[in-house]
Amino acid sequence: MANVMDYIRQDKLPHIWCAGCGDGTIAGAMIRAIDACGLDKNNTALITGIGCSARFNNIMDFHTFQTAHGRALSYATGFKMMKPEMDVLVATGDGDGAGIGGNHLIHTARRNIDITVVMINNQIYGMTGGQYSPMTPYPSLASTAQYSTFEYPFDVCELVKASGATYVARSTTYHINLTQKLIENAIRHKGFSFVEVISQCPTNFGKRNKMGSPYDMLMMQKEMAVTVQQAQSMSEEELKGKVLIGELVNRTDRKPFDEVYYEMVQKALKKKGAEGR
Amino acid sequence: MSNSTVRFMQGNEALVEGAIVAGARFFAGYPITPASEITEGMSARLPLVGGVFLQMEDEIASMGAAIGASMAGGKCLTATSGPGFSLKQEGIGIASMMEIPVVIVDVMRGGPASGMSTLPSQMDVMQARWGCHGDHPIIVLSPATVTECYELTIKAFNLSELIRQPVILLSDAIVGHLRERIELPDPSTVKIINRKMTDKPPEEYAPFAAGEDAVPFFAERGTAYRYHMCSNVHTEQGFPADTNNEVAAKLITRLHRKLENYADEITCYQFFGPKDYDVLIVSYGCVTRAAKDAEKVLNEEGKATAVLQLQSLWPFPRAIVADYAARAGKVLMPEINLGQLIDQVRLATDRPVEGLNRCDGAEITPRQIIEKVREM
Amino acid sequence: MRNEVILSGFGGQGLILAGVLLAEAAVVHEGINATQDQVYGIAARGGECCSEVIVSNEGDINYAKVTTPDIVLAMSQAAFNKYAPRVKEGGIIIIDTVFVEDTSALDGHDCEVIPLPITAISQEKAGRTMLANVTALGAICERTKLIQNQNMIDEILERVPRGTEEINRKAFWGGVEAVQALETGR
Repeated sequence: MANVMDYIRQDKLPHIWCAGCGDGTIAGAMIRAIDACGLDKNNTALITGIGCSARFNNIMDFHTFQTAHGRALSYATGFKMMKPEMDVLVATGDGDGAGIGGNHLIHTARRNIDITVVMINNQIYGMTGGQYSPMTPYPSLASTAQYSTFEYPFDVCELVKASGATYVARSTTYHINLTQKLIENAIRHKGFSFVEVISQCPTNFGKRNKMGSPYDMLMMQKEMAVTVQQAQSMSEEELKGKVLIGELVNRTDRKPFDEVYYEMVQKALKKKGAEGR
Repeated sequence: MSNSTVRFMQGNEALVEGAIVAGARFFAGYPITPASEITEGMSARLPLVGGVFLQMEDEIASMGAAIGASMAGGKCLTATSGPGFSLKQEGIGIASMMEIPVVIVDVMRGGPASGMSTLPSQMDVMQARWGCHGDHPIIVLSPATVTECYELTIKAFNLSELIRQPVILLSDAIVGHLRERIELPDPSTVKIINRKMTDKPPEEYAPFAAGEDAVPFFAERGTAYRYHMCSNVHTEQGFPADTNNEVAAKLITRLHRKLENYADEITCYQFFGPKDYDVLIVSYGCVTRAAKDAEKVLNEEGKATAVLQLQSLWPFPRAIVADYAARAGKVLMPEINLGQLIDQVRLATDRPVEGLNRCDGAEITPRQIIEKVREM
Repeated sequence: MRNEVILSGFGGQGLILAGVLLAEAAVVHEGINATQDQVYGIAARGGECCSEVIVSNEGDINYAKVTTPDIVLAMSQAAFNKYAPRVKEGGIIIIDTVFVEDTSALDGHDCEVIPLPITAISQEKAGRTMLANVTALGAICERTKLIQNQNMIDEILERVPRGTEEINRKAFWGGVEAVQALETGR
C-alpha cells in the first residue's frame, strides 16, 4: 500500500480546497492508483486547466503544469506527442473539461491518444463562486441561476464514448475504492481513458441546493449510484434517476494515437525513400 | 566549403524550410487561407525529419498543443491568419507568462472578421502587439521577401529559445504566396540557438529563477527535475502567488526586462536609398517592395527619398526610426490598413509624418507612393 | 530586360503551374530573376484564373504585380476580354482559338496577336487536352525567347509526374512547332 505522502509536495500543504470537498479524496485515490500502476514520478506528467481541479497538480510531485481554462487536453496532446515515453494524466472538472474545453475533450477522445483523464464532476463552477455548469442537474439553484437552472446537463461519459474513447468509466467520491480501481485500469489502458468522478461541492452547490452536510451529499451519491452489473437486472423504471458507475467502455479495437502516427511516418519514409527525394 | 542552393519558392514554403532548419520538430495547426501552405508543408516535412505534425480541432487547440510540446522540450510552430490569430491570443498570453518558446505565424489577410480571405492586408499589426490580455511582452518580426520568410523564421526560433518567449512572424498574403528566387544556405552554416539548460541539481533547481539576462533556465522532462509551471503569477519555484503584489511586480517586470536585455538581438531593419534624403518612407512587409521601386524612380526624378524597412515591429524600434527620421525633412508611412503603426513613428520623431493607406484588399502600388511623395 | 507576363484562362487549365514553371525555369535554368504570383479566388475549378510572371535580368524584382504585360496568354474568352487590352504597346498576345473567337476587345491596340488552337494541338500531339498549358509554354518560349526552349522543357520534365515525360515533351514541342509553322507560313 502506497504512502500517499511520498507523492505529495508537503511544503504545498495545506491544500486550498474547502472542508468537505471531494477533491482531496479523489486526489488520494489518484495517487494510490498511480502507485499501484508503478508509474515513475520522474516519468509522469499531470496537466490541468483552471478551476478547483486545476489545483490537483500543485500538491502532487510529478512534472506538473497548470495551463489555460479548458485547454489541458490540447497542451497534454502536444506534450505527449513530444514525449510519448512519459505517462501523461489530466485532471479536469465539469466546467473546465465539458464546458469551455468540450471541443478538445471530444477530439482528444476521437484520436485515442494515450492520456488518462480524471474529470471531477462537482456539478458546478466552484472556484468562481457557484455558477451552473454544463453538468449541473436540472433543475438546480446556482449563483447564475437564482430562480432555477434552465438547461439540461450532459451525460459526459456518453459524449466521450460516442467520440470514440476506448476506456470510459464513472464513479463517485463515496465509492472511493472503485474510483481508485477505475483510475488504475484507465492508466493501464493503452489509448484515451476517461474516468468521471461525481464529487460534492458543499460550499457552492450543496449549500445553495439545501443538500445538507458533505456527509449527506456523499449519502446521496450512494443512493443514486448503480453499478453496471446491478443495472443489468434492473428495469428501465427502476433505473430512472440512477447513475451508472463502473466500467462503461473498454475496447481494444483502436490503436493509440502515437502508434498510428508513427505508422504513418513509416509510410512517409518508405514513400519518399522510394522516390529518392 | 559551404554550398548554397538556388531555389524558386513561395514565401510560405520558404518559411517551412526555415522552420525545419531552425530545428522545429513539432507543428500544430488548423486550415486557414492564406496560411494553409505552411500547414501543408509541415505535414509533408515533419514526418521525414522525426518530427510531429498535428492538425488540431481548432486554432485554440493548435496553439495549446504547440505550447504543450514546447513544455516537453520541442521547438514548435503554429501558423494561421487573422481570424485564427484572434483565437490564438489566449495561448500567446500563456506562453508569455509561462516563458514557453513558440513561434506563431500570422499570414495577414483582409479583415475585420472573415473579411477578404484571399487578399492581403497589414491589419493585424496592433493585434500582434496587444491582441491578448494583460501586460505581456511580445516580439514581432515581419518579412518582405521570400528570402526574409526563411531568414526571419530562423531568427524567430532563435529569439524564442534565447529569451524563452513567444515570437510572432507577421507575414502577409502577398509575401506568403509570392514565388521568387531564394538562395538557401547550407543548413550547417546557419546559426541555431537552443534554450539554455540548468546546471543546478534537481533539488536546487527553480524553474523561474532567472540568470543575469533575466531569462530562466530549462530542465529536461522525464528526469528528476519535477517542477511546476502555472499560468498564474508565480514564484521562482513556479507555484501560484497570485495575491502577492511583490512577486507579481517582480515577475511581470522581469518578463519585459528580458526583451530589453536582448533589444540588439531583436531589432532588425534595412535601409535603402541615398545617404542624404528629404523624404523617408518607413515600411514593413509587402509594402516595402513597392516602396523600394518608388524610391528608385523618385531619386531618378531628383526627389531624394529613402526607405527604412522595419523587420522587427515589436518591441517598436523607436531609436532606429528616430535616428533615420531625424535626417529627413518628412516621413511617409504607407500601410495596408487605416494607419496602425504610424502612431509609433509619430512618437519616435518630431518630423511631420504622413500616412498612405488603403483597406480594399489591394496592395499599395509604387505609383501611389511616387505620387504621394511628389506632393510632400 | 524586364518582361511581364500574364497567363490567363479558367481554373483547371493548369495556368498557375505554367506560370510557376516559366518563372522557375528563369531562376533555376537561366540564372536570372523571376517572380510568380496569382489572383486567388475561393473556388478551385472553373472560375477565372490569372497567373502573373515577371522575368528580369536587371536585378531585384520588388513590386511583383503585373500592371502592363509584355506578353499575354489568353485561354478563355473572358480572360482575353479582361487581360488582352492591358498589353503594353507592341506587346504579344497568344490566344487559344479553341476558346477565344472574338478579338474585338483589342480593336485599336498596337500589338501582335498569335492565334493558335492550343488545346487542340495538345490533344493531337499528346493525346490529351489537359496538357494545353505545356503546349502554351512551348508557344510562348518559341515566339518570345523569354526562356530557351531546351531550358523550358528541362524544367517541365523535372516537375511532371514520373511516366508522363513523353506526353509532356510532345505537348511542348507541339506548341513550338505551331509557332514555327505560323512564322514560315507568313
